[in-house]
Amino acid sequence: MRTSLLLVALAAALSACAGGGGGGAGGVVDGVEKTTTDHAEIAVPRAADALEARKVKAFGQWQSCMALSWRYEVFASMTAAEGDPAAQLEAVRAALVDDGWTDDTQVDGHVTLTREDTTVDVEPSPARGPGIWVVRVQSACADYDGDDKDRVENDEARPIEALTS
Amino acid sequence: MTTIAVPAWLPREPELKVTEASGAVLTDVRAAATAVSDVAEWARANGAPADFSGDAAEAADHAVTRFAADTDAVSAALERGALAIDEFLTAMRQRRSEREQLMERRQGLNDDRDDLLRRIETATEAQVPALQAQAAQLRARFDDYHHDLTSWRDRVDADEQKAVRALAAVDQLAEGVAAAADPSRADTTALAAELRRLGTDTDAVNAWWNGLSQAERNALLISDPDLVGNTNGIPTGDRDEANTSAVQRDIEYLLAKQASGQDLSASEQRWLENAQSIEKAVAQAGSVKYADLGVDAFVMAYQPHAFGGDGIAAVAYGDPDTADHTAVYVPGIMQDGTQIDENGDQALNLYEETVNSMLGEDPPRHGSVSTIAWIGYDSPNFDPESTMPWDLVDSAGDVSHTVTEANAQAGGVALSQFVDGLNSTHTGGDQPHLTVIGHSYGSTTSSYAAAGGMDADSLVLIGSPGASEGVHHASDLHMPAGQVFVGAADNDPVSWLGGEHGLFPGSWDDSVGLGADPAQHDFGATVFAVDNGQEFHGPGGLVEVGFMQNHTNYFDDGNPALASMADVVSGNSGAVVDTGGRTQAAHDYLYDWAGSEVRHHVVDPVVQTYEDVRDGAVQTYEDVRDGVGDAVRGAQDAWDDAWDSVWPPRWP
Repeated sequence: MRTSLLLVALAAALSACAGGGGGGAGGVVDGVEKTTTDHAEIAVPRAADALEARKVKAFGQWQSCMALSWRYEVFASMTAAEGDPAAQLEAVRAALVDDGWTDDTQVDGHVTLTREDTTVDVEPSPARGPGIWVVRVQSACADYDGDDKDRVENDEARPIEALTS
Repeated sequence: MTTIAVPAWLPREPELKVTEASGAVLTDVRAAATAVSDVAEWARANGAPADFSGDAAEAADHAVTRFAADTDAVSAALERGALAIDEFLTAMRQRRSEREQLMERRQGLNDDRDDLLRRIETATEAQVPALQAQAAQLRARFDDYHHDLTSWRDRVDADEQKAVRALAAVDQLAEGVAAAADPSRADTTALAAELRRLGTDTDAVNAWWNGLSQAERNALLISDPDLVGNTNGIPTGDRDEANTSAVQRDIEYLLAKQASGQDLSASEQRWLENAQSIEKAVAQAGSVKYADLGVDAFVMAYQPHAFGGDGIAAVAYGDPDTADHTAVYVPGIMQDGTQIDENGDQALNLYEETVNSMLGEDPPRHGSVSTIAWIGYDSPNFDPESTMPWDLVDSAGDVSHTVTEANAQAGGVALSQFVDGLNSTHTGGDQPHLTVIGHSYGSTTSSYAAAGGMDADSLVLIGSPGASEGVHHASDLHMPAGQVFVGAADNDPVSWLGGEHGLFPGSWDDSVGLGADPAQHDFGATVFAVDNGQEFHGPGGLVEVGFMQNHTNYFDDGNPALASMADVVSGNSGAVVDTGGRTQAAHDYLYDWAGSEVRHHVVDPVVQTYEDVRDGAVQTYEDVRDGVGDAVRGAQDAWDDAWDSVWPPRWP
């Protein structure tokens, strides 16, 4: 019986990784990119305003979810005004909740919000330098096949000029 | 008129044109030298035997033999050239450091000069003698600076001349022939044999390697990059140089073959994917996303032909030989050498979160971090490109290893040896703090390593299908007290597979599976909070949400799992909160999900249909509707009662 359970799980994993999962149809990749970018074009400026940030850099790129599936990410970094990080996080949270995002924060030092299948995570990143904050806007992980898979696997980072200042 | 002679302002000395990035030249030369060395080796093996005589003496001039001699001469010349470049780059590293010190002195001298000028501006006649004395002292310090700067420039010139002479000494074939015949040339065959003999004794390997001359190390890096790059105990920087040369050699060879119009075989295509994945893994440390971190990447393992072409690969972000905190991330099912770049992304994210966590403490804690993505074992995987029946059978056979522990057991030994190597090569002795993080089947592999005595300080098991056979409790993993940590999302189906007892305790199926569920309360680990993910329905949901998202989100930003792993890696494990762990068996999660599926697909639609009828067809007849509503609610309650009787709360 237990063997059967393992094999069921295995078969599911196999079918997942052999392609033909959540994505695959033509236009799916474009749609996910557009939806995520549209959400980023709202969330990133709101976060930047809340942080009184400058030097915003943003780009979009497909990335893998542990090499099993794929998601589109808009990644932005910015230099925030000096301040108390906890208060700044709160300001970001308030701004995005006002904008219709649902707060799903589970970790101190981050603000995580969701809207439909898109997640935005905001955190200070002193590892990148004093005052640097990063915003990640991500679609849900999904499998793709055929040309879509080639595209997401070999995607190059592209700057998003509308978000760069 | 009184004069105070103040020395002239000191200009900035231009930076040296040779930078750390110039090391790429050495990699290029070594890759070329390795390729020529391989050809020479082949030619020697296929030329006329040395003991031919008589008519066969003609064979002494056999074309292949001459070719072998010529290529060996080129190989020897490149070996000398690579050594000269290596020594030059080492010297330039020293000169850059010296220049930085000189520029700091220059800044101080100019500041003192400005200060003196300001005081002269407002000086009275009585202060002049003292200012003249101070100016004289300053002039003497300026003279010393000019002298030291000149000496430094002379050393740079001498280094350049030495390198040019060394390169010029082997730029003719005859010089290469002489270099090849030089009795002082390193005997790489003997050196490689000795390195192989030392095997898995990583301390001995490290001591032996450090005892070699630079010329011997250089020669071995060229002749046997695959051996040097994959031997635990060799310093990380040298492993990186060897592997980077090998990766470059392979990519150049395979792309050239493609460019010449030849099709790559399936195994060659796989070989190229392995090499390019490593290349990407290194490049992403400097990508637009991660460049701000300023972290260096090191290729710690590269064996593209291992495990039938699945490959072995490991990339470190941050130098583990000098790091205060090192983490080794061990991926699980479906991962192989062609995916080291994607796994490197997890390692980089962990790197950033760990440094952020340390700098976010009050007061901020400084320290160097290295995170390593390690695919050094044969993770069960399925080739998604499989199309032919025999490929599918082969892939299915590989994946079937998931239900056994053989690969995890062998992988545990390899992982333990890799960790031994990290301890041997750390410049401060053993690693100050080393964490191993196993995900999915990689957690079973990591548990095997720990149970076998792996010399790590902390162990993290996430999304685990089982903590390996024979491990009943955290204490069986032989980590320091309190240093076994577990993360398991309630909605991660892989974490439903653990458990020492089958569905029929004491029977045959107890021995099937991958061992105890480490997230259980009584296992004794610290079970940290995780994002439990979304609930899901249907086989599609199991795949698209269960496996695709809930099993792969542990390294996501904003997931408490990542924050806890960062605390463990940075040695701040006291900040990790223990949730207490699971109190129901792992396979009961699967049972509950199966039950909820029956409800979702069978019961709920029936109720929904009744409700639709109620709300639609009899909308205007309130009394009737209420009556029907009562009837539906009664039916639903009856369903629930019946359900509870036919679907017990646990496995029967």
